[in-house]
Amino acid sequence: MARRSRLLMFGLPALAGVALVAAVSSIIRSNAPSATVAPRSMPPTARLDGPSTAASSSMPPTTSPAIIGALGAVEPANREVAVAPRFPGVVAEVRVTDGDRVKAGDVLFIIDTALPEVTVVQRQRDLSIAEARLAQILQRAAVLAADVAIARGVAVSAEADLDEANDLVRIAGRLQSGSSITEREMVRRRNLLRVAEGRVAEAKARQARAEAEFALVDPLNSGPSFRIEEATVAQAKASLAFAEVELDQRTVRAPSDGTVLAVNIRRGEFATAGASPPSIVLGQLDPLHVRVDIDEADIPRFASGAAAVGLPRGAPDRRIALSYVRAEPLVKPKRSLSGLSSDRVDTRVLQVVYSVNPSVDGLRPGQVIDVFIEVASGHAPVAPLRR
Amino acid sequence: MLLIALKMLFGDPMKLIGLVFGISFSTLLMSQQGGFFIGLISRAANVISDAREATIWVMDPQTETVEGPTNMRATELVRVRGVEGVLWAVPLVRASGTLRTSEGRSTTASFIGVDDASLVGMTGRFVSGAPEDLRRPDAIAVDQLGFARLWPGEPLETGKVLEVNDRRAVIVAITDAAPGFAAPVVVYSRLSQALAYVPGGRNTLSFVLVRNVPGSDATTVARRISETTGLRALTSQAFERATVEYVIANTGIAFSFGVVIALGAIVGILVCGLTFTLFVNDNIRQFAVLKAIGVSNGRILGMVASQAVVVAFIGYSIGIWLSPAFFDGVNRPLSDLKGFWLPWQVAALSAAAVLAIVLLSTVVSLRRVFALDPAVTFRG
Repeated sequence: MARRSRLLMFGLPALAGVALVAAVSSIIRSNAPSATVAPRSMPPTARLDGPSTAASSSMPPTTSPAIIGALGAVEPANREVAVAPRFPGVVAEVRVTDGDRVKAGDVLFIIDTALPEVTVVQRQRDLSIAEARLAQILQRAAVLAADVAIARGVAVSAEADLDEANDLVRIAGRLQSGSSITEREMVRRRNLLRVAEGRVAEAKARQARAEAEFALVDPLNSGPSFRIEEATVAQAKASLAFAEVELDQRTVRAPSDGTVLAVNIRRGEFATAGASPPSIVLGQLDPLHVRVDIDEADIPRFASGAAAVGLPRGAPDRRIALSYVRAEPLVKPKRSLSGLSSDRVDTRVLQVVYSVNPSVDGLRPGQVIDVFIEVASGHAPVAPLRR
Repeated sequence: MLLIALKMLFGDPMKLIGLVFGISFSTLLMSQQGGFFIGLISRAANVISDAREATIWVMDPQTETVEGPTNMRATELVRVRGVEGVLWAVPLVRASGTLRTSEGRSTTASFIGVDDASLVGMTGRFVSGAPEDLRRPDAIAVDQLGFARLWPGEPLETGKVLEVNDRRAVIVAITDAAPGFAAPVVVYSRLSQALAYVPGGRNTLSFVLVRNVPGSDATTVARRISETTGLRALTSQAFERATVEYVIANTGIAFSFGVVIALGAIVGILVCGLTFTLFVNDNIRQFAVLKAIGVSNGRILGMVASQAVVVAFIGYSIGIWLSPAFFDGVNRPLSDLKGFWLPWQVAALSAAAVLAIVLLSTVVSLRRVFALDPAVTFRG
């Protein structure tokens, strides 16, 4: 047998033992199992065995195991009222700021009024011209009335002259039998009669003419010229009123009571109707509504009046009881918010409206919350969906 | 008798060292390559195992792995929330992106976007900064490996600004996230932030992470989610398994590692077999004497087997110590081999393989002794 090495005989197994211990400890260290851990911040949950069952006084009644998960957007009860100017133009003045409470009729902002102001002045001038014309006609009517009086006087005196001439002729006829009057005198008297008759005819004609001229402008009997001027004045007044309305409508007023949710225009900007975002957004904040989108696949499980609970994001302990208001009659396409310029429809949703008390629940319009809706007990679970 | 066997064994240091070396080498090769293999393919599932809050992963039926998801419609999240047994459900988006520094260095990364409100789905290991820091604007959390690639040699520090798909990003936290398979660098951010960074399609929901109600069975809840929504729902463990199986089935990794491990075993068998055969041949006279004094073949087999077991013990111990020592050496936060370790299963399988190798070699080498005529002792 060969020479035995004491070193090898004891050293090698010892080395092996040490190595094995080292290896086992290293393996144990690196094979530590990873256990499930609790989330740092609790995600929204509808289950009562969630983290904080007694967190809110408005404790929801969701004890049913069957729930519908949905997303809800908080909105004013009358939805958002997008106020736009009737006339596009440069904004001259903005009278409200975000959060202001306004009453119906309060001025919100004013569009530049330079042009309608000029129009109003122009129309005012037109009106004064028309009114002056009317005054002129009235003055003329007085003149013409005097003319008529003159003509009447003339006619009366002409008729008197005619009576005198007639009388002379009649006397001459009686005297003729006594031959106390010359033939020449007879002729002269007859001519005088003819002159007098002509004068009467002329005077009557003049009177008729004066009366006709007066009738044109007669304000009492609505002479045509008077009517024209009168109508011109009325039209000028209407034009002025029109211009004044146009001027007034440059001032944009609140259509209803509410709170200013957004002011998207500044002095000097060009405001127009149909702009996006709208110039000013108004809304009633008490009560607030939560518009909940229910996926079309969950519609069969939804029953009108179903109890629901809302969980604002970032505050998993808060559970807000929602009171049912109505379900929208029309199922609408839901937009997928992909951040692309053109968001596309990805599914259809039933919109159900719930109301909340903003002072209690601290929700804000526009906020998105997670909503859990109770499924009526006894409702069959939704059938498996195969795609 | 065993003492004699051991005396015989330690009486020939050269052969003993040869045997020990052969076994050690074989063990090292098998366990180290086995560890590499497990480490590499499990990288594909690291995102799952890092999201330790979730017990169930819900995905599109076409999604095979965590790294190549087919995105779902956004409303699937709320549908999952409505399933009985779901305590909570949060969205998670996974995409790829390129990080670029102002110095011009860049690296591709896995982007994991986690729920803005709860930040569920992130790794729990933060080296610098905290998960809450991700709530800041343009905030991302990059892992140490990514940081080292982008700023080699610089100390880990937050506040650095870089560019992700032409958008600004600020590193607010540095994680020790387990590296990914497709892209080793893992970047966490809020979901809204991640969507801004990565080119989005129509659907932006990769996974829904679910925690089942305490006391319920995750597998049952997962099955119920599948039945109710038509989506694919797996428990975290099942999804990890499915991801690893998908990688094994769809890459040549398993085959190439299998070849190396088989070579290790073959080398072990050859070295042991040859050395034992030489050993037996050298001691053929002694064996003949033993047979002549009436020792049975079984006794002799026992003697040699005990020699083999001792050799195997020594060789295996040294080999199996070298293997995790190697992994401990390379498994540094900033190393490309980060995240590799030696699973105890691999160590156990190596031990079994070594035992099989030495016993096989023993039997083969003793074939001549069994057929030996004791009279050989008295010849020549």
